[in-house]
Amino acid sequence: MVMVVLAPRLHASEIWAPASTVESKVMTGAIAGLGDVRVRIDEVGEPISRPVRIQVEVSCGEEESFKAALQDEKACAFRDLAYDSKANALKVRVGQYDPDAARCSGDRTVTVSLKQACRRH
Amino acid sequence: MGSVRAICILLLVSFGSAGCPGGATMPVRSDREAFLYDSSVPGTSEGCRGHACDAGMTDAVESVEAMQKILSSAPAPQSCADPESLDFLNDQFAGNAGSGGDIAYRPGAGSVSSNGRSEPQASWDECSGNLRAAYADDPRSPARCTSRKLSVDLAKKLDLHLMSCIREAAARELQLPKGVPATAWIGHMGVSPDANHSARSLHALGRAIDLNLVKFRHQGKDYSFSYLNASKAYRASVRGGNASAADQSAYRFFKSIETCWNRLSPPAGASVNCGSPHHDDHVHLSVPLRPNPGFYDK
Repeated sequence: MVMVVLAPRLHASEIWAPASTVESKVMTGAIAGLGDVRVRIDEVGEPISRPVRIQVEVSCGEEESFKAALQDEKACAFRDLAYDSKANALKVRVGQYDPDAARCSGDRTVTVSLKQACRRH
Repeated sequence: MGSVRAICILLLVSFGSAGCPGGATMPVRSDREAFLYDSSVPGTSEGCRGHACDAGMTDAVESVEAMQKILSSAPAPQSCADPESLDFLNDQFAGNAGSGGDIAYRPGAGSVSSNGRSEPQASWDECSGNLRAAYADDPRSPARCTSRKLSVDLAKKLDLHLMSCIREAAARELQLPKGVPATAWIGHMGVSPDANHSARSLHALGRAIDLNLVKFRHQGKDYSFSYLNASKAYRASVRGGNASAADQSAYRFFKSIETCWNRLSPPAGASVNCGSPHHDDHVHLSVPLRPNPGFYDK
């Protein structure tokens, strides 16, 4: 598995918006053996258990256009992602809200198969 | 790491240097404007911003007729009492531990601060009272009640009125007699947010709850209304399709709850529903601040 990372957590003071407005961050980079990856993070505030929307797009090697790999994943934070070259899948790690502590303290991993978006070259 | 070497790819511009162990930082392209104002996407333009520009919001704005269509298919509404006249519904169920109405709560649970305001909190025992509750982020999963902090003002409003609103919705949608159900259970998606989010939301003060599920039993029959169903009906109506009877019923049920709740918070009301962006899986019920010292209106 190719290790990839790392984006710091979002902070409300820098990325915050009412639910009726989007504040977005877009991050781009490259993964060896795959191509360019673009992550868009929208801070939307609602629901409070999952106030962030995450989208991941990949360009699949020499192809220039980005293709959606993960659309509007709801979470309380984006942690990082990694590429599993054997499975041809992205492992997107996102935050998990703890309602009792009112904190985005947990983690969960969303596995995104790239078999449709990126056929092996 | 051999042929599989670590490559740092992602970096937020706003956070300065990247944590890229042994690797070069990658340039970050800010495509925000392109994302938000992509003229190729219907409903996006310079004339609107953010969520108001996405297709969903455009649909929402244009869907008043669709919503009315769902609502007009409801059974003939019964008379809708003013909030004051609903109090008798609470009176017959008074006497819960720590409260005078339907939920069990105790003030004096400290305070929370956000955006320069300190808010006194109460401790809500979700497991007791006529109106019980649990966090149910996924309404299809088991939920566990607990003791939860919330604003004293929200506790009072839930205590005095939410059960009444549920009864009102039950009367409208199911033609149940007034005063029933005697008890109910609600699922919600939380009261208080992570400190890194929603600093100006009423959630940050514990003054809002994201409701997504209502269940109760009457004369041996179980009733369950999920906001996921309500949202399905809404989306179907926006697209001009047909929603199932159950989905339409759920939509009307939650709409009745909102109508009731909003009567308590004139003039702008205090709910946000699936007609608004990011409320497709819950209805946001709040206790607004009047005047509003820098928080959202609802």
